[in-house]
Amino acid sequence: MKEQHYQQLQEHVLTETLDNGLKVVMIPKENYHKTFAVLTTPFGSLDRHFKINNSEVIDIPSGTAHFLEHKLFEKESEDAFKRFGELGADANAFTTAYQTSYLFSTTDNFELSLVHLLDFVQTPYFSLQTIAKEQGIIGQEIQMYEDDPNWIVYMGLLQILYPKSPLADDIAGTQKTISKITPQLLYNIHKAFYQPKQLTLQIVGHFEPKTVLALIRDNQAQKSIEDIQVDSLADQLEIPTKVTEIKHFNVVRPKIALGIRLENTNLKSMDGTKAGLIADILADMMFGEQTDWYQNLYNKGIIDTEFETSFDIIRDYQFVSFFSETTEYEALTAAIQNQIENYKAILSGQESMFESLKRATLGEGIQRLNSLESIALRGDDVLFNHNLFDKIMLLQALTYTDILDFANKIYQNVTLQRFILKK
Amino acid sequence: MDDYITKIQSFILTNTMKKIQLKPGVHLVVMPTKQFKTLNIAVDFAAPLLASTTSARALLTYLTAVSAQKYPNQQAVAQKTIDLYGAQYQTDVTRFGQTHHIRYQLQMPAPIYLNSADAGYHLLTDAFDFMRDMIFEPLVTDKAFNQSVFLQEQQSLINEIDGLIDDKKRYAALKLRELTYSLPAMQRPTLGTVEDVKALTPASVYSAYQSMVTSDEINIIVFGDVSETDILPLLDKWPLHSRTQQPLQPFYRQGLRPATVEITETQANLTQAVLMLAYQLSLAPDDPQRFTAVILNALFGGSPLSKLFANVREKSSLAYTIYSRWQHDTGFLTVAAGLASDKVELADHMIQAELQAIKQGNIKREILEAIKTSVVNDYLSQQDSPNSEMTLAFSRLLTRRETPTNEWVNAIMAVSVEDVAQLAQAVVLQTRFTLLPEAVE
Repeated sequence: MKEQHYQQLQEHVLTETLDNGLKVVMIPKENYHKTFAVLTTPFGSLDRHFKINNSEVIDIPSGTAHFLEHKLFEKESEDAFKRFGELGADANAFTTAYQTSYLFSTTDNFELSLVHLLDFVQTPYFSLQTIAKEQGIIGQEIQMYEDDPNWIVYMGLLQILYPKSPLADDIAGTQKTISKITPQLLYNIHKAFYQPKQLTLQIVGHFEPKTVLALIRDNQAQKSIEDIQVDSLADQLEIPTKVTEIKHFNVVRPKIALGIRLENTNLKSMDGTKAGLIADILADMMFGEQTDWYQNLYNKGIIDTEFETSFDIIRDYQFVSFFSETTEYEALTAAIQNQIENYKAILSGQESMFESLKRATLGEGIQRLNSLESIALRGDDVLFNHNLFDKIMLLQALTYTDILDFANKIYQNVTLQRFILKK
Repeated sequence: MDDYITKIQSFILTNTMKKIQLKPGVHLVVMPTKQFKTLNIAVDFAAPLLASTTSARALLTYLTAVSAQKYPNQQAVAQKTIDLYGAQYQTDVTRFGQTHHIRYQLQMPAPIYLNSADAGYHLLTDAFDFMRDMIFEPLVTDKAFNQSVFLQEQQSLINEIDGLIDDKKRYAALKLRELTYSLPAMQRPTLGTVEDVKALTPASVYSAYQSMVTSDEINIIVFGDVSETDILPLLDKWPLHSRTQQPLQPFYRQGLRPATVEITETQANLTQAVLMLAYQLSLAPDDPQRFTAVILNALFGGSPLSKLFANVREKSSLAYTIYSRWQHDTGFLTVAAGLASDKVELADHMIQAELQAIKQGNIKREILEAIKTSVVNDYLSQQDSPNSEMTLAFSRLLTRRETPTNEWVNAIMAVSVEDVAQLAQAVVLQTRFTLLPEAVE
């Protein structure tokens, strides 16, 4: 068992990889009342083609990862979700572009719930009948998102940044794509992406590591699961063609999303966690609430507190985005463009601003450690193999020069793309 | 008497909450714990809920979120929170029954994790000074809020209220509220109405502010690795004056309506329907049946094991979201469902049938036991969140009632099928609001 100590944060992490490949990460927190456990596979909505043991390529319709997540709860004779309820545990699951996670938290019956988590995720049951029923439920879920303007704007931006790519598809897919799902496809995916060596189990909270690890070992020893080679094949990304897209929808004020697609290869060689931390501080220095830029636009009513910026690195997809709700979207676009063009002058001599933002970001990271769910889910474990504690430690090593170098990488030859939702 | 600090030693062994009276009408609770990596400060101003002051009180939380004498705009406030190591400062309006609350909150990292020798002392002091500056030294001249900040925040609040219609579930909840309550103040949205906000002036909001700082009941909670001896000297620098203590009456109650009131509204650009129902389930504040009501709600629609979730959503696929919520403070049980428009009638019918089944005692014993375990789990889990702990403490201060954890758990575990069925007899449908997509030709 590997043990890592984070002295400054007063945290420690125990890691063990079992014989069958299952990775177990344990973070004991004795003074908490509940325990949180989450089982994750790095399989998400971006995985759309794969090969098992070097045989022919299998295509995955959009929405399948999410569909499988729902379906895994339903067994021949019981509902796995209900079983958590009977144990008094609070269970859930979610699917993102790059992961699917199954989780629960509880103050009681932890061991029974943990065994149940492992068993239901590792024992698939898919039939034609249950698949047909699920198509109805998910169909409604897709509809629900269609009524959410913020969701439409977010997806709209991804569609112009990455046209026809898996990222531009709704994680839930469409009625049409999910109708193509068969039991055989789900079994194949499960065999490939849910085999033990693909899974990570994180446990955070009140528990006894030795006992719990023994329990997991024992549980896994009872299962014989085939070890197979799996290759996920990434899609070739198309070049964007649209700069601006306007969609009409019944919203009170226009909503706008702006994005910069980053193609820089230098960026790809960087540690993703470090790049993300630098990008966040850079965005604060350029567009944060403490800047003259922000206050000026705020005073003019061009932006309000809803204004947000974000930076994402998700496998091959790397982009900067801005979101706002404003009638003055042309002025906002010009202001962002202008700020980016002048980034050198804006960042020059801002070393002390950098230092104070770094301290503030450290403080924010520490505040996040209150929550067991955050500790397990808000690190970069899946994408870059850095947990939330590593992320906080990495942050403290950043320098002002890192920010300037990064700005040079992302602010050259910028094309700002826009998606606007208005009446 | 003014400077006399009374200390009410709680007789409860678990979850002891010690209430210190700083001045009549002004109380402090320090909740020392090393469990978390933050220090939280929350200041609550409570007043009776009045239709005439809702909008002004909402706007003043906007004004005092972004300005003060010392920090005249958003930029200055943001810079200060950055200097406080990324502290989160926020202002909110909430209500509990018929009391209206303005709450100022600050969360910051606990100094020992910052790797900085000098952070400890000055961070705590700075935080309290900052809160004092924001709350008690607003950007005011000649008994009126600064005109330009006022205009800007007035517009922000109008935008927020106008924007509520874009969130269909929240919009439907507002319409249900309007329909359900008979008292005008209760019908209002928490942020007030656009019409009222437009009528406000820098002077009228200042007068609402004055009334808040001089007359509202004030409760201060400090949560983290601190003791009252750290905090009391810092609060000495706050202008906390005694106020006339008229005990607030937080619980709202209204009479039963003879028939169900209902409204259906259609909207363009909508694909799903929203169905909202309000039932009366009104108990006296200290009625021991309140524990049964918690279980009744969890069984009806308040948990994944509930009848509405298991039968309406899972078994019959009639709704994607469906849940119920019981509010002891208002005496209502509400149901919200997001569903396809052609399934509204069927779902509605099934919801009533599920309630009927509960009234007839058609409840599986093992489900009830599981629900009790879940409810207890949720309750105990709150102890792992500073916000939940502080919210609980505020409601304890307001209701002047503190049920120790073990008593709470025992009372929940003692609820029987018969108790639930009997209490369900008192659940009466009062209002129904349906939001439908406009029919496409």
